[in-house]
Amino acid sequence: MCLAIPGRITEIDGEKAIVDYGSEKREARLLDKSFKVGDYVIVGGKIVLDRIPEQEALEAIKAWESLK
Amino acid sequence: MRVEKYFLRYAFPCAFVIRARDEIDDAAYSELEDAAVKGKLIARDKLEKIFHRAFAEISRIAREKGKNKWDPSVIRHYFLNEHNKIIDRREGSYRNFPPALCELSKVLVGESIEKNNDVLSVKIKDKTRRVLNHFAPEAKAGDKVTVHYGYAVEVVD
Repeated sequence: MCLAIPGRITEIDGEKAIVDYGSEKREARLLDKSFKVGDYVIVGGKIVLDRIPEQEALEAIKAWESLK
Repeated sequence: MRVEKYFLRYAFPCAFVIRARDEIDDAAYSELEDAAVKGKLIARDKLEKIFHRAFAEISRIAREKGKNKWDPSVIRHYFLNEHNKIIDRREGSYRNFPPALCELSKVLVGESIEKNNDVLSVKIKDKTRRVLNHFAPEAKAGDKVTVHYGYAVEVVD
């Protein structure tokens, strides 16, 4: 079963981003400079793959939380 | 390629979620990643236990086809044909997820249009996605590849 869980960027240092998942934070690599602190993103294989609109991200996080 | 490795390359992108569900710990997650990238073998019973949701489906397909669940054609059929149907039916965990996120979780075929170190840009339908090439380092621009979440999995015809 495969789900894409969004996290929120809380820090950026060059190519490195810290992504907050609520219960934990993970480091991920940024592929370009378009990402900003506060963006909701999808991380795969430790790289930031995509930006997700806030509304959609919050919906997904809510759905995810209800599974736990 | 050993079928265990082939399975793991398609299944590993889901391991992040299994980790997030606390079904495996960080060490087990790293072991899976290592095995998927470097090809270290993980026993079949261990893989079946970790990816039990996938194997519930794979076992059903195997029964229908009269084949062993570890037959490469059964594993391939699951990931290329059945995995996305589960998402489209919005069963179980997928029920409340926004469509854009469900789309990322599917196994899709696209055309690799650019390679930049270990990142491939893959055109899927009208969108370009960037994915890691760790499981398909041989993929080059122009190749058709399968993509699962953040990974290119294999070059296909």
